[in-house]
Amino acid sequence: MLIFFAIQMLFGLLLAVIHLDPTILQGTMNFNVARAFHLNFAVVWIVTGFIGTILLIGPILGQRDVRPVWLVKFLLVALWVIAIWSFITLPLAHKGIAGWVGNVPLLQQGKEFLEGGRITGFLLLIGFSIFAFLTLHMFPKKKKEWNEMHWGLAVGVVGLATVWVFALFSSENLDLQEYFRWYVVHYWVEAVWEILHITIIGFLLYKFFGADEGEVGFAVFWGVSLVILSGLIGNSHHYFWIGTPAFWQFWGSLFSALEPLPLIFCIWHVYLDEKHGLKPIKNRAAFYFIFGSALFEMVGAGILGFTMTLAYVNIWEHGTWITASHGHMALFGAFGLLVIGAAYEGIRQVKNIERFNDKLSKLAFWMLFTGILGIVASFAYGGTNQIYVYRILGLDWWGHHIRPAMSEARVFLALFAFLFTIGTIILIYDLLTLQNRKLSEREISAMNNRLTHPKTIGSWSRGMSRFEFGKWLLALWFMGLTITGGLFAFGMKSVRLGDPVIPNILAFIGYGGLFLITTLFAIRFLKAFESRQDMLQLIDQYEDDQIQKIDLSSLNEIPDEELDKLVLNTFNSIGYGQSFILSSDKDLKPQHLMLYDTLGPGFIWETVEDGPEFWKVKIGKVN
Amino acid sequence: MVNPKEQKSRKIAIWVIGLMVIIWTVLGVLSFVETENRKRPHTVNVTFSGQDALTGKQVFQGYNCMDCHTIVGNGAYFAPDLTKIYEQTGPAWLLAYLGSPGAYPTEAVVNIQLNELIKNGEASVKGIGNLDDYYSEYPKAKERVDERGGVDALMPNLKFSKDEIDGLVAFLKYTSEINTAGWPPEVFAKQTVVDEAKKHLEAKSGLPIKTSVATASGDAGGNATAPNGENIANAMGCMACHSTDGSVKIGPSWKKLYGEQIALSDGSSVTVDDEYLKNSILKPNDQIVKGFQPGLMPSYDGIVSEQDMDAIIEYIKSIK
Repeated sequence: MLIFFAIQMLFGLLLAVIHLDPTILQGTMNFNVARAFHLNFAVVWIVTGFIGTILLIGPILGQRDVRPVWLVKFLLVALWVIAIWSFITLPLAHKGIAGWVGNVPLLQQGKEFLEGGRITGFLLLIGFSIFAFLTLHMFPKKKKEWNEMHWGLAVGVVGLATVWVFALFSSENLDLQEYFRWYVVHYWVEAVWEILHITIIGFLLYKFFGADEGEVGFAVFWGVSLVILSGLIGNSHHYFWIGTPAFWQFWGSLFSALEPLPLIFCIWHVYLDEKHGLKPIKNRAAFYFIFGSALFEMVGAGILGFTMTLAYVNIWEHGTWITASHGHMALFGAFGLLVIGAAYEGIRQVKNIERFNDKLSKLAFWMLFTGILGIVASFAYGGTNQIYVYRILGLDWWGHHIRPAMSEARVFLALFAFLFTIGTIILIYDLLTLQNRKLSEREISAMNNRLTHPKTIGSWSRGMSRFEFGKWLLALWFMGLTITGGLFAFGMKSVRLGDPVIPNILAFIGYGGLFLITTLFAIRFLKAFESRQDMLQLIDQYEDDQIQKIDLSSLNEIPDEELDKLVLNTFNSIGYGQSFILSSDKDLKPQHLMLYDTLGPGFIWETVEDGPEFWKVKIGKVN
Repeated sequence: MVNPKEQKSRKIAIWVIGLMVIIWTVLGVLSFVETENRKRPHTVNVTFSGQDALTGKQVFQGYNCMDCHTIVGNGAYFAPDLTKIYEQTGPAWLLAYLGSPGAYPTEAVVNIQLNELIKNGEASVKGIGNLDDYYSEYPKAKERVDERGGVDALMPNLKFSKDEIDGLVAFLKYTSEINTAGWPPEVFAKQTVVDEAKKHLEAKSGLPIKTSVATASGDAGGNATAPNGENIANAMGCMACHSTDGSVKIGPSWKKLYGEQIALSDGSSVTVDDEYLKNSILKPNDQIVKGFQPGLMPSYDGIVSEQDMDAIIEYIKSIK
């Protein structure tokens, strides 16, 4: 997976360089062939990541091992064969060789995202079928024993292969060909891949934070359903201007506008589940990537997608860099970061690393985060100028008119692509040599001993309330609506006469605000996460006999308010990361509700004994 | 596991999805059903110069044009959208351009291609008798010739064959006929704003702009001098295909060409002298150099005079 990622990323860097000077490597590695590699290897490395992740979590979910093992090895070899075959066939475009047999392009077919020819297509279909088989083979035989996560993965892997069948389709006419090409692209990234994403995140969060299986199941079912309910007909946001009837403008705008719903639902559940955890997790780095994935999915796929999806906004941005802006954050952000996060956990488990020094991992995270954000911002900036020069002024001399309008954006693109490249190198190095940063028992203890019990914590380390979370999301969506307004404003008469001020201002505020708030939100969320993890770590390492104990048993004469005061005072007397034991011969539910009413979510309530004679809980102070 | 009310909600969700699948299928089928009012163009029905648009579509895919250009707005955003280019620039300009994509064609070359089409009775230029008629029909061709004629383009010099070029033109003719529901939106920016922007952007690009290319007959005396020959060669569009530095654009380089012994595609060899060069200009398909494609270089018979050819030959001699 990492090698394919490196290949894809290097081709991306090459593209950014060729953007700066189109004569570079002209004739040897033309832009279009480099781009074909960039797109195809993006799919290959992410799909490899999916395969790895599902082979990792499948046995845990299905309680059966992956088998037969030889088939897994065969699949891995098949992926390499496809990769090498791509290196042979994609460059044939330099000479115009597609390997036509009738209307079937055997070798390569020059369709965006589906550049590989029919042979590649069949090899991939075989690969996906094997993958679907291996996955289903790990699950219980009786469907009745399946929970929502089994179903989510099953629909996902079978969908992967089924949707791919449409890639083997050729038409004599462009409109029909585009119609079915989008079946593959859309029903993959905006359906099947999202279904896999939801299920994988659901599973990982459930494993990390011990979320209730029923709750995760609920989230997976409705997340997946929302994806299909919005995305099935939402596919037609690709059918506005390609020669299909105009009625798609209505259906496509309406349904695709709903597509962000499951993505908001997803990050909401990441937020809820993270708060649910009662024990510290062993792999904070993996959570960074998982959180990043949910965040970029909502911002890149959801918000940026929304800004271009309504037909009368789309008519301006169609065929410009604005599309590339959305595409990069959505694809790398949602899916790339997810499989990287899963890889961190997978490699940790496979190499038997209890905990590792994650400084390098977090550095890689922030470099990739900033890198992709910068790339996306550059595309957005260049794209806005491109719309003005190309669509409003009607200039179409690429070298002399359009490219100069985008020069600054191109320079930023190359700089951020370079930053992203460095981040990737660090990431790959970190993952491949993770065992070198394994922490010994002694080092783990030393690390834990360095944690403190402050009485107060910084405002950005505080736990995030639902209200605050909602405010961040509203701010992000407000920026998204500003961008939408800016793009829509290209349709205003004054703008079409030649004055770009309104769209430029709205785009500047909208995009700028969106990227700034995304960054601040990520910092805020992860800081609170780190603080909470520290607190949980502290609470976890104290044995029960080392902390205070309050027993309310047989205190029947004392009024409830006095007992409540006792509990509260004890709570207030301890520092962050400290805990005490509360026990009683009566149900402690009233105390739980009382604490929640008074304190909000800033405590953990770990049930030790749950009646019917005696109740005992551990109450800890967290952020 | 799941409570009954939740079970019911889930069942409803799945039924709604089922309903959507039906709607989706119906709308999908309707998208391609043709009626009196709604017809779609078909590649097999659109022809140009003996090739059909289906062949052209295969060329378009074979060279992976979509990963630099966009078509119906889809593809890479590295080169212009090609959906309506035929409608804007017409077949003669496209033929002239595609023959040597690394440079924009001069008026002479567009004219030659147009004359070829008229001579062959090509249906696509029916009703067009001369270049002026052509420019009236395709004003963007005139715009390009005036602004860009002879200037380098950023597109690589893809080595299309004649059939591939004809096929591509047929394909672009087909895409021009696709109903794109009003995309791209009509342009009605104020001319002053556009002109101002053009000036600013061209200066910013730092790229050479078109300097006037001398007319076909060179200087007043029509002398056979190398500088004169260079002017004529530029005006005639020769430099779009022939380099002076040894590299291969589309045709053989003119560097160190005169006096050389070269191999021809039929196995024979010939010395590059005046007679050979003049024959190449007037009847280019007679003697094709080995490794190069026939049918690409147009004939300049009736376009260049004897003096013009002498001047060009002097120029070729001077390129060491």
